[in-house]
Amino acid sequence: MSKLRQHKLFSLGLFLVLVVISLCIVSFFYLPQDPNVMNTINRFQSPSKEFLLGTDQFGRDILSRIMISSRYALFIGLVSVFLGAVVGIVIGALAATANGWLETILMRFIDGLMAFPGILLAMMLVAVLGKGLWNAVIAIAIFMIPVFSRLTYSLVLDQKNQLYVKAARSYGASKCRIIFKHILPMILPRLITQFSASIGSAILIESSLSFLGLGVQPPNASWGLMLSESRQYMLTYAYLAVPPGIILMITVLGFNLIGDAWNDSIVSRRMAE
Amino acid sequence: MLSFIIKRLISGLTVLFFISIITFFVLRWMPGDPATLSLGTEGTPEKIAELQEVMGLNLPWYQQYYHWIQDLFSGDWGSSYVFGEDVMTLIIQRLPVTLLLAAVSMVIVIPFAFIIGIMSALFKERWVDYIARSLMQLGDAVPQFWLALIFLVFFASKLGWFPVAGYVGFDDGILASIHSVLLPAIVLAIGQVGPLIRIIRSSMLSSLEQDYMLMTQVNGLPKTLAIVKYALRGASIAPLTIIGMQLANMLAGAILVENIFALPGIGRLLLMTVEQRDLILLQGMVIFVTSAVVLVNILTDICYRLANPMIRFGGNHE
Amino acid sequence: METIIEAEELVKEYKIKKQQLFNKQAYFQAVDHVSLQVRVGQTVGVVGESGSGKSTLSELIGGLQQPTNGSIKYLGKDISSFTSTEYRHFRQNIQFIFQSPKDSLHPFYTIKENLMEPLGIFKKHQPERILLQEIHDMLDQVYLDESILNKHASEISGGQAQRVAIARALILKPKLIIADECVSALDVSVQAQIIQLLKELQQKHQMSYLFISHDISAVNEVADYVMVMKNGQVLEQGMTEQVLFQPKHDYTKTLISSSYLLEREG
Ligand SMILES: Nc1ncnc2c1ncn2[C@@H]1O[C@H](COP(=O)(O)OP(=O)(O)OP(=O)(O)O)[C@@H](O)[C@H]1O
Ligand SMILES: [Mg+2]
Repeated sequence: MSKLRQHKLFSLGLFLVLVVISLCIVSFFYLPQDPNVMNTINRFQSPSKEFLLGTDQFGRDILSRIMISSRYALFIGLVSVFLGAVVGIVIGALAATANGWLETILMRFIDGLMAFPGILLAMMLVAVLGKGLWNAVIAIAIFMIPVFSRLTYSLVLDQKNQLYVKAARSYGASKCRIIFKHILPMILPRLITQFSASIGSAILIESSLSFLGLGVQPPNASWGLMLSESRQYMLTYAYLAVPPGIILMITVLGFNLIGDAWNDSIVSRRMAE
Repeated sequence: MLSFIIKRLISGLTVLFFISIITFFVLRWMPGDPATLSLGTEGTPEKIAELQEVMGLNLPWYQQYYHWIQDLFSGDWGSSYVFGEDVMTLIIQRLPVTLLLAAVSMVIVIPFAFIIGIMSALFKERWVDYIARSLMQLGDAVPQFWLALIFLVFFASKLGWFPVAGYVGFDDGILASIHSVLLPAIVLAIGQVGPLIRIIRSSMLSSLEQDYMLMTQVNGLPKTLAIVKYALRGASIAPLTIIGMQLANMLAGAILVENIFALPGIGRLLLMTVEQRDLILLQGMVIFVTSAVVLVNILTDICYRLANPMIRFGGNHE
Repeated sequence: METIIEAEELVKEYKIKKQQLFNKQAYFQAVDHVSLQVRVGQTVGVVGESGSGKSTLSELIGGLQQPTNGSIKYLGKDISSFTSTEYRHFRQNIQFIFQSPKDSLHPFYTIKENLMEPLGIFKKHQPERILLQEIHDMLDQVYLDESILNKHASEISGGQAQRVAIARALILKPKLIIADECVSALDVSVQAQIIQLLKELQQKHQMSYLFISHDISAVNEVADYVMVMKNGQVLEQGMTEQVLFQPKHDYTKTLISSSYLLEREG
């Protein structure tokens, strides 16, 4: 892919993500309306000067609720991917350095996790742990583990055969030191790329869980929850369906674009070498 | 070939073993034991203890696990305490709806992805390619449940082309049945199209690069023939690829779509199960769905090997 | 004289990839029943054609690969029964100079960081100032300029990388250095300087070398004892003068005649 296109896509992704991040930051200082105040007089107001994106079935301002929701989306996305990445990287690195049965067991375990269709694992965990924000974070984090361990596993295996690792062993570096001081810096760019791309899917899962009533719980707001709450009124008031979906898509697209462009630039740099 | 099948089976079985272990422990060692949960508000300490005894919850874990696996193999998957019915029966009742949904969406997605994927490869780095890739990006980012809602509002409610909700059984004719799942199937298909285009595009690109005839830019009939040849070979493999790689994704999508369109399939049953915390049923469904994913993966891998001579004669990649 | 390393009947087999599940596993013998001894202050040279198993042998002896068979004793003790303190001592006192020195440096680290690594492991209590001084002294000894310290491996020449690798091996003042083609990438004048340096250090610290090279004249200059390898086996061994000037095997003769040793000596 051409450098220019890569650059453009990256900038677009960055722009979209920045829009959402600023929405989130602004929400701490200023909200157009109180997002939780219910007011029956204002029910189902179509977009107007006072309510830029209209109001929902309880008369709550949709824009304010969207802004508040961005906090949950970003928080759950970042925290769950971070937790999943840390555990996944440790498992992957362990599997790649251990040999024999431990390696096999770890990797088959990961394959097993991977066979759970995306949201099923999260649903199963929510069923056991109960609904709620933190349980959603844990469920999504567990869902993220296999991606990171597989990636780490293959990257570490790759590096393990490099001479600099053998050299490090020859002057007495411990396994731990080799993994963290020598190999990790080499594979970090790829892991960061994966991190960015994963935030997009984590936010998607969060919103899906919340939509199914298993994630963020009312009266808190989440884009998925907003869509689910106003679902039965959509046939009459179609505008209710639009804003949460659009902002959700913008967020996911932004993180995906950043991840992809980053990945492409790493790949093309590798090929240039 | 035989050795490949055996290897694949062994690794698949190990994965299944781990799935059963994961499911077993997640559902048993987490807060809330099955006995207490299944009794709900009626649970007095004596009743709970009694049920624990009956369910074998006092045994050491490996014995519990062993009994459970034994039961799974003998077809005794337990019974749901919400529906009061056999787990297997419940699953088999709901299965046709989900299968029909998946099949229809596959019929939609394959030709579509195929044409776009090949065009995008043939006109690499031209506007067709850019549009295709932008569509892929959008397809990856759009939330399926949102798309489902929008389609519902627009095509079903505003235009009235489809029923707003509900499933028509086979008894009312297969066409009516298909019509009732068509809109959800389209939504599901849109979720699958991105990854599939990616696969087709890249495999087409590598085929094109391999063939010297196209490298030397021979035009006219030979070139067209070669493209047709690749397209056909790809056509035989693409369905396998999508079934193998996308089954898990498709099931995940089905959970959301079935709930929005009120289709009485596996996905809808699953949500009810989770909401009611019906652990026995949940356990059965998780095992069923994941085993299906693993087994289908093994099968498609083997078929893929048979269908694709490149891999078969290409030495050992394993 | 005390023996540092004593290897007996070393065998290393590599698995050959199986074609079919039920085929018998086939093996390739890279090192085939090799025994050797290195005494304190001694330099043992290993010569042999490419692929004859020299590098494999060196890695077995330095404990970087597990032998399929045979035993290795370091200061009289079998290295497979080491406690962790003994293993640490072993690692500190046996250092490698690898065949491709550039690849043996960490690509993301500067030369300074690369040289600091072994010091950080074995001398972590000492203040950084002193360690830096050691690095600077070492650089002087291998005729490198300080300006190289802030460069990365990709930014230095092959010969410079070889000298950095030598510096890294020497910096811990080991008892034995396993040098795999350590002067091959250097031009003749630098090569002479390095060989001189290796000899001086040997005198000063009673160091031993396992000196692997296809360069017969370099081996002739440093080695007291020479082993000739082919297909993983030792064909011939003995004192340097004897093996290099009265070779018994035709293989050895071919090796020598193709290396211009005779002409130069002649
Ligand atoms: N990791 C490995 N797996 C399989 N075979 C190997 C491996 N490493 C080395 N070999 C084989 O073992 C033989 C000896 O290799 P080795 O590197 O020891 O040779 P060498 O004498 O150092 O050669 P050179 O002078 O080219 O460095 C070679 O035939 C090589 O192909
Ligand atoms: Mg070698």
